[in-house]
Amino acid sequence: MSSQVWFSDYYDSVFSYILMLVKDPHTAEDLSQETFMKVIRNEHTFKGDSHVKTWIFRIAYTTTISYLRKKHPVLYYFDLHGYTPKNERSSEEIVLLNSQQQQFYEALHQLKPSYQQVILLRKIQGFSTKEASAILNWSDGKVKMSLSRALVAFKKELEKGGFSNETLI
Amino acid sequence: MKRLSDEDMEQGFENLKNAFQPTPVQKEKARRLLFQQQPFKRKFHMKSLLPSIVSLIVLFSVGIGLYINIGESGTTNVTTSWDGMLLEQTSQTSPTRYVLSFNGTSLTIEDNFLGSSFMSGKVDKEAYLRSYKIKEPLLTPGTYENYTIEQNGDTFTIKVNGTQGFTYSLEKFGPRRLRGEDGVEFSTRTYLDNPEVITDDITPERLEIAPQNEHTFLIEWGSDSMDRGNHDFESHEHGHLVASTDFNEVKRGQAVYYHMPSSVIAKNPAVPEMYIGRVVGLPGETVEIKGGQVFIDGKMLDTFYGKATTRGFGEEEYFEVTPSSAIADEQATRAYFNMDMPAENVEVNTVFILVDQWWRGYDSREYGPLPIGEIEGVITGTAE
Repeated sequence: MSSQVWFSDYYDSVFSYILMLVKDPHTAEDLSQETFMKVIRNEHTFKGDSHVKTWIFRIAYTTTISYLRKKHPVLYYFDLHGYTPKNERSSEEIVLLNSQQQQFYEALHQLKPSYQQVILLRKIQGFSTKEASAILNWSDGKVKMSLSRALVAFKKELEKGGFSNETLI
Repeated sequence: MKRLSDEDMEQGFENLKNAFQPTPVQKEKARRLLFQQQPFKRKFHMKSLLPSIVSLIVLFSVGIGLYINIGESGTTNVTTSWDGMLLEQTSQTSPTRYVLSFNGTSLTIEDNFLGSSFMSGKVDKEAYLRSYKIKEPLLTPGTYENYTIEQNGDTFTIKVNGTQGFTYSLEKFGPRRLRGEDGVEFSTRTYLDNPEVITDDITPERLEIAPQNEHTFLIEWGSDSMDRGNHDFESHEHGHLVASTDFNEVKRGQAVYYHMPSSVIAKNPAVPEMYIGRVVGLPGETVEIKGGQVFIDGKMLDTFYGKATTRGFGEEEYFEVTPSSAIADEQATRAYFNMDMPAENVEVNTVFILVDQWWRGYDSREYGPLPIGEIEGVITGTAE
C-alpha cells in the first residue's frame, strides 16, 4: 500500500509545515491526520503527473487554509491571519527552540501570510519554484518574486529583532 | 551588526524545520489512527439498542391507532342524502335490468328485464344465461324498509335489516356511476358527492317569441353583451325584445332591463342609460367568481350563465373551435376564462347582475349589486 510508504516518508514534513502555520501542536496533529486521510481516500486519483510530495503538500496547504479560513474568517479575508497574536501560544509553548530558532520563527511570523507560505515551502521544506507554484496554485513568476521580497522582508525583521551574526556563534 | 549571509539563512531555516518535526510518539499515534482498522464490535448492547426499540414500538402503536381511527371515521352514514335517489342499471352483462329507488324509509328494487318473459323451458333458460357474464345477480326485487347507506371513500354499502335483510356494496367509478359488488353497473341522475350545486332548469338559453299585452313594452337592443353564439338579444337579428313590467319578484336567471348606475356612465359616456343584464345573485346571497365560475354562497352555479363564455363557448370549446390565428392574445383570453372576483354580499333589495358575455358588457362586477327599484322590466322574449 503506497500510502503507508508515503506516510512514513512525508508525515514529518507535512506536520512541521502545518505546525509552523497553525502554531498549535494538537491542531497540527489533527490537520496532518486529515491531510493523510484525504491522501488515502484519493490515492487512486493521483495520476503521477507531479511528485507525490507536491501532491500531498497541495492537500496539506488547502486543508490548512480552509481551517484558518473557518477559524478566522474576517482576518483571513483581509489577509491578516498571520497577525493573530491574542490568546495565541508563544513559540516556547509550541516546541522547544533555541534562541536562534526562536528569533527566526518569530521573524517569520511577522511577515504577511503569502511571504510565510513561500519561505516555508521554498526554503524550509526545500521545494523547487515549480513545485511551490503547483502547491500554492500561483504562477512561477509570482513564486520567484514573492520569495525574493519575502527574504528581504525576513532579513529586515531579523535585524529589527536585534539579530546579528555574532549571536549565531 | 553584520548582515546575515545566505548560508547562515539556509542553516537557520534547516534548524527551524528540525525543531518542528513531530516526535516519534506523535507520528506513531497518527499512523495507528490512519491505518489500523478498528476491531469490529460484535457485542450486543441492549442499552444502546433500547431507545430505538422503544421508539419503534411507540411508532408502531401510534400507526395502528391512527389506522384504526381513520378507518372508523372514514365510514359515514349518508342515508339521508340518498333520499330520492334513483339508480338505473346500465350494464348488459346480467339478465336483469334493475332500477333501485330510494324513497323516504323504503327502498324499492325493480327488475325491468324483458328477456325472461320470452323464455319457455328450463333448458332454454340455461342456454340463455350462458351468454351473460354475471349469471347470478345478488339483488332480489322487492320493497325493503329501513335501509341505511354508509360511505367509506368511494364505496357505498346498502344495509337492510330484518328477515329479508342483505348488504350490498357499490363502488363509485365515475361522477354518476356505480358498480355493484357483483359487477352490475348503475348510473344516477344526480351527482353523488357534489350536492353543493345550484342549477336552473327554467331559464331558456335562447329567447323565444313572447306574447305582448298591456304590461309589456318593446326594446331595441344592439349590443353583443348578451351574445351566446347566435347574436342573442340583438334586435337586427331577432327583432325587438319584449319586456314585461308585470313582475312581483325577480328570479335568478331572468334577463332584466334596468337603469345603468350613473357612476358607470360618468366613466364611459358611450354606455347606454338603459341596459340589459341577467340576475345571478339574489338578496342575502354572496356572489363570488373563482376561475371563471360563479359561486353562490359557496355553491357552484351550474347554469349556462354561471361561467365565463365567449359567444356561448366555455374555455375548452372556445380554443377547440377558434383557429389559433384568430386568437390575438392567448394568455389574456385564458385569463378571461379563469377570471376571479372576490366574494360580494348582495344586500336586501338589491340583485347581482351579470351579462352573458362578460368581457363585452357592464354589470355588477363594475358597479356592485343593483337596487331592485332600478329594474324597469323583465325580458320575456322577442316580438313576433
